[in-house]
Amino acid sequence: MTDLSTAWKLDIAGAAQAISERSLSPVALTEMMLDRIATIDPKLLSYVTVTKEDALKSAAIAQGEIATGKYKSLLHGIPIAIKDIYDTAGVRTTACSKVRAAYVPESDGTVVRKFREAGAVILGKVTTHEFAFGFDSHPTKNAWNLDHIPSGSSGGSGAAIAAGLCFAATGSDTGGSIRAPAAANGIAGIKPTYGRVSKAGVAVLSWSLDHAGPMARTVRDLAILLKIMAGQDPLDPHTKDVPVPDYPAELTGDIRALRLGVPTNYFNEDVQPAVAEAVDKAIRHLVSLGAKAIPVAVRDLDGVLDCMLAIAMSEAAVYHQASLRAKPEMFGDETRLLLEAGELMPATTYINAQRIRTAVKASLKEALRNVDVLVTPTQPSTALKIGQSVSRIGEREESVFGVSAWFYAPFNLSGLPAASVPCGFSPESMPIGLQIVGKPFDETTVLKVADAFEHNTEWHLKHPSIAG
Amino acid sequence: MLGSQLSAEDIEKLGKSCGLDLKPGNGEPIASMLAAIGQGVYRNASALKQDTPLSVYFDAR
Repeated sequence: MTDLSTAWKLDIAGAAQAISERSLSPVALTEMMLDRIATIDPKLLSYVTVTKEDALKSAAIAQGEIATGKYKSLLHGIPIAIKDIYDTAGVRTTACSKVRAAYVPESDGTVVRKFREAGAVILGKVTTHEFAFGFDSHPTKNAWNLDHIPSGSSGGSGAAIAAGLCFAATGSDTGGSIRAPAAANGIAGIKPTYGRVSKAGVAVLSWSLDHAGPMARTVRDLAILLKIMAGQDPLDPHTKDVPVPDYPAELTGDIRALRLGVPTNYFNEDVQPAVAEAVDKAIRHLVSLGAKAIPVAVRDLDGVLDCMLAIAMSEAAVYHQASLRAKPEMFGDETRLLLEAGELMPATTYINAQRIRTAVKASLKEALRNVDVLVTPTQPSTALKIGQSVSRIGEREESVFGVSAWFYAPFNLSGLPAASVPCGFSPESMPIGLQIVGKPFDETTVLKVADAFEHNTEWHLKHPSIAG
Repeated sequence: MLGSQLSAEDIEKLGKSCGLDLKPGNGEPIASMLAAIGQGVYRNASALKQDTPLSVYFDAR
């Protein structure tokens, strides 16, 4: 039998194997996770709602199905968490806002429905920055240091996975909100190509920048989750009719033929020394595995932060237009300020931002022309301290928004797939992430590079002390 | 460049005319934000060819 006291350290692939071999039961696994949430989460504050009874009921059903040979998927009987902007039938979905404090959806969003159909056990809802519009994910703490933010907006997902309070979670990424908390908490996350995963039943921050995607402890787990999440959805007109590969089967570990584009500008400017060093080592490691590093220059990225803000603020203001008039006092101060500013953004600024986006897409297409992926730091610094409003790196001083979105925004604007995997720690023991970016709908290559790196390093096997 | 020259008072008036109940004190940070973003976007957009289109994800299929 699998030792239940350490089963939280398994990845989905490992837990699924134990379940299929009957050495671990979904009910015991779920009870163990619920006990851990009750013990650890009062310090971490990653869960908004724990659906204990529903989770135990789902686990018992999964256990019965598996016992009678009706094994559905690698996710069958695996406890996961859902970011609180994903609709869950009968379970309140607050977006961590007083505006939606009482909102209980009648039906699941598409991704949640797919997870339930795959047999997943949903433990509950994890925190988001209010309506996913920000980076500190208050009140959740960073799993590696409770004085630091978990980053965001999927901060609850990142912290809960790192602390072993679920095996995986959903995230959403408008300007880095999957990759930032993945990097900040030492786990893996992927923002798929725009149109790869349905956003039906996910609260909108920005229609044209939002991406839904998975977060987990390993890249293989991301592949398992993405295979279930991906696909065209009639409920989401943004999704595209592109075949979904068998991502886990593609993880061969062989990256010998692959070309890594290493940016010679922008992504190496004003980066914390510890981050730059860890990423350089990671690239050298990938080269030692047989990949070829090719320097590439990336044009036209200097304006991406303003461009992303103009689009996100304008689109968010439209989504919340009625609520902002009916109950403005229900929004948090930061969200209300951004929405009010978004309402007053000139249409010409929004349209020009969408035109700049055309140039950004073209620039990244050119950068990827002769390589398979780009490799960059996920973010220029490790997770900021709670309450820190600006970050100074070298001569550059940036707002939390700036430092957080700097390396992410180009790939929300272009819609390209981008993953983050752990690649080291700072002298202060804070995790560092490596960002891997691919061509449109080529998540396979992104995951393949990330998986090869992970298999040959041990960063993903380290756990924060809060996890026990 | 609309927005870059607006004062906090202008913002408060504009907000009111749009039916918004701006939070007291938000006029100044909104004016600063719109100025910074508007100027940044305008500067970069000015470098584009005049016929550069919008990047949109609408699919008419």
